[in-house]
Amino acid sequence: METLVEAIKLIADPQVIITVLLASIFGLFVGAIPGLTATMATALLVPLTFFMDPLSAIAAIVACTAMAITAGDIPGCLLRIPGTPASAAYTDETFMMTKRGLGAQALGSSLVSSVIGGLFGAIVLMFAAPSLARVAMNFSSFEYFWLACIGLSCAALVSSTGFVAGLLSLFIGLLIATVGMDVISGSPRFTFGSVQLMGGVSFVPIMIGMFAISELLNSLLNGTARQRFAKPQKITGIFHGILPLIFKYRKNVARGSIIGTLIGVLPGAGGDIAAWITYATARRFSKEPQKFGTGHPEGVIEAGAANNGGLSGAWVPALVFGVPGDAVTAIAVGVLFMKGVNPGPRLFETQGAMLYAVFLIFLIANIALLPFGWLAIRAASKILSVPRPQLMAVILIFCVVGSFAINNTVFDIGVMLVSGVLAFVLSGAGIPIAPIILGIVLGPLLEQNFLTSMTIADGSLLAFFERPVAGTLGVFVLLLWSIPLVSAIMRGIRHMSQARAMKLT
Amino acid sequence: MRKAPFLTGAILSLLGVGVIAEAMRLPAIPGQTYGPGFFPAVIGIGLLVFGAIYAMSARHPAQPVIQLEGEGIAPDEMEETAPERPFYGALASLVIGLVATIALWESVGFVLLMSIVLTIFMILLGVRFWNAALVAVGCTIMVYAIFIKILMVPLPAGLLAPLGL
Repeated sequence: METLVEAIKLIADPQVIITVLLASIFGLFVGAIPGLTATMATALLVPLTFFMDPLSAIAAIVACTAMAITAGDIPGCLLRIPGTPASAAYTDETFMMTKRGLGAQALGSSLVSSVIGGLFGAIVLMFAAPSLARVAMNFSSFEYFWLACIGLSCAALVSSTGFVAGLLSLFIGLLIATVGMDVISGSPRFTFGSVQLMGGVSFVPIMIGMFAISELLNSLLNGTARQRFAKPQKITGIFHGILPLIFKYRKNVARGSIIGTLIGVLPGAGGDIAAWITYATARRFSKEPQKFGTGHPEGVIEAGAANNGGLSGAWVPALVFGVPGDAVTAIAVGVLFMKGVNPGPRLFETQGAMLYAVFLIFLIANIALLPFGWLAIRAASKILSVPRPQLMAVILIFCVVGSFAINNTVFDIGVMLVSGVLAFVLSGAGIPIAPIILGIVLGPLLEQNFLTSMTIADGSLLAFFERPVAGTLGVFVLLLWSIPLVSAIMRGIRHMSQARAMKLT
Repeated sequence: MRKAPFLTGAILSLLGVGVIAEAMRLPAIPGQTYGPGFFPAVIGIGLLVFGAIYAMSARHPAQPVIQLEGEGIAPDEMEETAPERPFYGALASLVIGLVATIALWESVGFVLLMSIVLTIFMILLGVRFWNAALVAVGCTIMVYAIFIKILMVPLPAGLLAPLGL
């Protein structure tokens, strides 16, 4: 109770309130514009958070992403272009609803279900995180090694373009993480004699490059850089008749919130995947699956709840273990490290009030979605008529100063440019970018815990299975790794038998 | 055969070889089984093996994978908004502009550099000169003021230093 009062005092600070307000407006704007994702919003926000206290920084990221994910539904519904990838799962559905004149219902139901999903995820975070942290207090380097493994493996496994592409992306991230002086022995690795690289490649310029510059390059190359969006129709009365609708589909709201949050908690998978999966489960368990795709709100409600739930859920492993659940929390963990706040179970003892303040921010941000979302929908046609070239120029200048401002070196602008081109080329070749970021954040955690464990155990790998929790986690990781292997073998066998069958006929 | 994935896989595989070679050169710590070269070696092997698999699988295009994370645009989105031609000019100006920014950062200064780079960038995207220049200069000065005055980031004044900005 005492911590709660202290937490309320912390967020009553005007700096925190103003930060949350500004970050929310920024998030709404970025989310509502197609091509600008929630991750990009976070990446652009990071240089500014660098000048805030840790609480304001996290509050800004939380508010900004929640708003962006929800605002992403708006252009999907009005123009059939998802504002952020998390809305892509049900863009067609909401657009069909708009076509049938149910645009207000589509936006209203996705907004309200987003709020419920987000609140559910925040409540789970509030209660699950502290109790998990108590368990995690006894964790040693062995357990942390496996947790980092789980985070990395999930990131690769759930990658959209197949697990080989995901793994490659992961190894690139891990490789970037090894650049610089090795923390244990102090020997320089992959620095090529450069003094600038001795301290490692800084994380913020890489992220800005990979999520913002690469997007700019992409839109220049596919010719959407100058495209103006069609003028959307005006939507009013989004809350009219929404509560009965939500009540009618309360099962979907509940299932979407629960599955979404769980997927978010799973390291490596975030809101985008939660939306796709729950849209599918909504259809699977629906009484009228034939209506899906024709402008039916059921899937929209379930997936709308899920992507916001996933967003909150992803913070559970990030805060408790320092193992981020998605690209956004990977960035947040990076920011906390830069501020000298190391996420992990000890944080719950030393910074309890601050963590509770973060949880309260989650609740507030999700409730604030209602008025803010309403405003964004009202302003949709204005937001969508912002001219693209000018917008891109503004993004570009923020990329440059943002990269520079972290360490005040021009070298980092170069890092940004190189990472931007790299990410652009890689995604052109079908390799996803999010695992790279997880690799960069989790790489040092993985290596340090491995080397510490090996020093303790005198080089015996079996020690990783000797402690009960570590052993369980280890077996889980091995099972996880065997999934793609087994499925590849199964596919091989099926191919062979098919080929044989072809020969016979 | 899809060229881009094949080449990328092959290049990453070669990178893996380089990483392994470099990892071997890292010193071992006496008395410890795993030194600073161990992790880079594992990463190198990973890049080598999976880069090769990726390149090989690109030679036989697999069945289409479900698009999950919205990377790439679904085909039916494309038909509604007719794509324009790629903006190679603006693309080049972005990359060259950034390289110039890095090279001339201290000597020319933030305001002048960014104003010019952004103006050229926007003009190449079809924005009229006065509009582009106004946005570029306005933005640059605003960002400069915020970062210098409020956030205390030492952005270089460069050629405009005599103006006492």
